[in-house]
Amino acid sequence: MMGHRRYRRALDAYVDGELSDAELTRVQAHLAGCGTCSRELQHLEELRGLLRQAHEESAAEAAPALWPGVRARIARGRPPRSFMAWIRGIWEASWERPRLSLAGALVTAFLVLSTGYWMWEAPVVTPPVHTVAVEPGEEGVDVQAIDPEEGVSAMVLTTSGEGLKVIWVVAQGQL
Amino acid sequence: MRRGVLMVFVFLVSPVSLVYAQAIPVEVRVILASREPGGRQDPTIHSLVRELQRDFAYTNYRLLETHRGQVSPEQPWRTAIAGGRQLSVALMRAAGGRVEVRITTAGVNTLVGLQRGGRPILLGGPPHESGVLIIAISAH
Repeated sequence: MMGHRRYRRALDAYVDGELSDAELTRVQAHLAGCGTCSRELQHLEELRGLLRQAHEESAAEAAPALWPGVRARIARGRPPRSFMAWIRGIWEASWERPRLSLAGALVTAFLVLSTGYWMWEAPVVTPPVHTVAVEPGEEGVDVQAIDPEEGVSAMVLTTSGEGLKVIWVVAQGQL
Repeated sequence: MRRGVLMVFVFLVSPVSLVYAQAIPVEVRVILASREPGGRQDPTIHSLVRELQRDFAYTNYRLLETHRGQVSPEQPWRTAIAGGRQLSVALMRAAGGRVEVRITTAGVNTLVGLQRGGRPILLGGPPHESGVLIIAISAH
């Protein structure tokens, strides 16, 4: 059960509409039977009304004076933002949306890592065995000329063990 | 008796005898290289397969055919190999233990020098069945 003094303090919240339903019910029940608090409430509402009226009048008086400046600024367009201001904006926005920032960081990390991995593991096209310059030998085989037909490619390879010469042919069609 | 000696003499100095004297035996082995599970391996190509396995990714080498013939300056040797392909070997030069032959097959015309009784020249790449052909050509 609220005391009379506490009801007086609750009247401010009552006028501002900040009471819970239960408190509102209790305050309204008290106001029905308490003339002092009813007068206090009436006094508070009159005071709020006066303050609101004064604020609206001052704003209305100020608006005509401010409007030309606002219009001029709109006409000039938005002033260019500095690079640091742009960075600051992104930084502040990232703190306002932590999930979005985390997702962006993950995507950036993925791109950086995948690019690095791709560059590290980039396939290097190497023939299966060594391509050799042909050198005639007493014991070995020397390839003196290769004349592939049109659409056929040929290369001379040397096996890594005994150094056998291999003429490897590749064609787009049937050989 | 004199007639026989004369015929031998004529034979020895005639161009025909020179041609026969320069006839070079050649051998062609046609091997199918594939990635199929390995089967029984022909012992005649064992050393060749061991060498090829060092550098090529094929797992199975199977000797399909062996062809033998003779080449001379006037008479190239032709044979049909796997897949209906034609292979031609022409003797261009023979000096000492080395020969120079022109090989034509599978879209390639190549001039190679070989040691008689030495290592073969390998010509690989033509697709055949589930793999590729590797043709080993050697002079004897």
